[in-house]
Amino acid sequence: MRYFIMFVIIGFQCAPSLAQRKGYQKNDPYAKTQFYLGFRLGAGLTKAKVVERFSAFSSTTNPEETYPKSYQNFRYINPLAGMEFLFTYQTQFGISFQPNYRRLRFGYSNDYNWQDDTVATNTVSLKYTQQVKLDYLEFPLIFKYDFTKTRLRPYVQVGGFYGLLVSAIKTVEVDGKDQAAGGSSEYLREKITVGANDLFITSSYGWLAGAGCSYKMGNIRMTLDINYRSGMNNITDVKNRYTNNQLSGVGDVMDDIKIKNITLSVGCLFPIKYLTDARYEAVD
Amino acid sequence: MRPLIDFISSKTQGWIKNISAMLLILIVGGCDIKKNNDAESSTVVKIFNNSSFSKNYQPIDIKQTSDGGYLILGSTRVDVSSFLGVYIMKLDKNGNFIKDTTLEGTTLNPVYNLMGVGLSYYFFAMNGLTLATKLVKIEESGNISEVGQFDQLTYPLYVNIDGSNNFILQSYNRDDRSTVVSKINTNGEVLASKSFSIGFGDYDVEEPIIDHLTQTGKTLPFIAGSLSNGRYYFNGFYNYTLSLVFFDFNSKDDVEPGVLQGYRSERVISSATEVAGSTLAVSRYAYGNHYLIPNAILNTANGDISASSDLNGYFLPEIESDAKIINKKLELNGKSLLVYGTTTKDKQIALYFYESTTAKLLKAKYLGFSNPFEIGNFVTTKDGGLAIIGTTFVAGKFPRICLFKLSSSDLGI
Repeated sequence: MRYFIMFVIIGFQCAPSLAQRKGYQKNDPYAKTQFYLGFRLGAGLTKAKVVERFSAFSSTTNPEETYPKSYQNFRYINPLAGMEFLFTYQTQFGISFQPNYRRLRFGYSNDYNWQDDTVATNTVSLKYTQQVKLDYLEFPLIFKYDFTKTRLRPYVQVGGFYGLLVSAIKTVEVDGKDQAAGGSSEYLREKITVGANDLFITSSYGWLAGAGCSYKMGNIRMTLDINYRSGMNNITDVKNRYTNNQLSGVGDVMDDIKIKNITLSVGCLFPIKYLTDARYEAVD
Repeated sequence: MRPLIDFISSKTQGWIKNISAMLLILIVGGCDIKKNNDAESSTVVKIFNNSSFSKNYQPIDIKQTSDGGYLILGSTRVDVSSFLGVYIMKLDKNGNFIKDTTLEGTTLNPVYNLMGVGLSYYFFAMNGLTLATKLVKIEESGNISEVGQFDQLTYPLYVNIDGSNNFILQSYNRDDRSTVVSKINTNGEVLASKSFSIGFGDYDVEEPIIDHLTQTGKTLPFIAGSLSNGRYYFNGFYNYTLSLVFFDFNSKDDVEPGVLQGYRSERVISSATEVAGSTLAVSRYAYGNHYLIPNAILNTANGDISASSDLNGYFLPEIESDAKIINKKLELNGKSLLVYGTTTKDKQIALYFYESTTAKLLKAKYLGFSNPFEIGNFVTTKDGGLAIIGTTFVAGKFPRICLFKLSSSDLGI
């Protein structure tokens, strides 16, 4: 949160009262550009794409057994909040800087089974269900193109982002089914929640592409867009894969993963450059 | 055509510069991505799982092989005997399972330790039918062969290696109720042997020894080793009690050894390693309480008798009452350390690192969580880390061998 506050402060410091003018002529450079300052809120869904699988468990009976994790992708809603600094040129071209604070959540599970050699119906099965919550401060730089110059403007955008990990939390739940003690008994053994910053590297980067539309309401612009974000680096800290005692102790280690995300966001953009005539209208 | 920059006011240009600087800082900060791409995990945790409900495995010792992988000697319960079978596992340098084998036939009851000489590894076991001791060799190629069988040496209890690559074996002779310590070379020749009378009394040592060997009772802290002054020691039954005994193989039978006496198997030395001269790092337990003494100055000369209960030490109430304690002098991160490994009451593996010269505790490290963990053994690795093997009870039920390979930076010493 402190990063978010810091960037809000920096953002407003970077956004001086740029200009106010009583009017302008056709082809006046003043009329060709505009700055917007605004905020964005949104929600997304996250997928962890596996690059390479790892497990603390190693089978001595089946060397082919890798104990693969079963990922629950695009399942949990991930909130985001941020700011937007938009510079437009000739109305339709824009460069947008959108620092934001976002949470990425995904989950996976492992199943382990044991069977009695002599009585095949005597089994014990355990299911480890993990949930990962990653909080990132992200800095996307996006190029936008508005298809029209009308009040409602559909647009497309592409860009890249760089993210800084702020916090990581992992939760592991272990539940089991024991069918070897004369009946069937299900039990929830425990829930472990640990800070897991060490398991992930600080940086992430990737590309994004999306589409949306903006609508002018008075002098402000409301935006609605949807973006696909593709992380391009492995976010798991390779060196620290096994170092969390609480997680590796229950056999949980991270795969090498890249993060994919779909985000729907709404925003509100306030123009900076105004004409100070009677209508007090923004340059648009 | 005017350049775009001309349309931007000087204040706006300043803003763009600020953001550019911020982005530059972030990109520079992103070099951890490159480091991460090039990194390898030097710390590894592995649990060697077997899907069979009834299998159980206990590790005895681990050695790093010339290929950077690991060879693990363990034991497993077998159908043919109440003594444990011999289990051998090979891992690659990343701790991944390669292969394992459980020895068939009469070779049972592998004892601490697995000893490396050149590219060969040796361990002692017992003939399950005759109770005689066997010396077994494992080649790095995986070939396993029996070097020799010692019919006069029954019930092997513990073995160590001295500076001349000779094995110091402690065994139990049930016929004359004695502890026997023997020096054996890698060819299987007995170079020297000495018996120490336990005596016949109201305290029957055979029952706890059999319980120890079959792992149906308390695990007893049998030890054997050599000192730099040429003397040898063992921790075993002598004169009705489990004592730490110092002796020479060459001394006459009527010469009394140096003895640090315990009381039966209830108040005894539980680990011992030479630090320098007559200073040893030891641990002791007394009725379930454990004490670590990293700088015990002991009377090791023949005829000297003292009591282990007189040794003051650091009382560690977290250690499980019947826990095994492994104690080794190791070089880690350029420091000479005394490392104690044991099991805590909340079933974690505990490692205590003492500076060998000052006997000052540098760090205590606890491994394992949620499932129960017990210490097996530990060894330094070629990259300056520490490999620890233990038993974990997966799902709280199934005893499986686990490996913690800690890098030197993770040790934090």
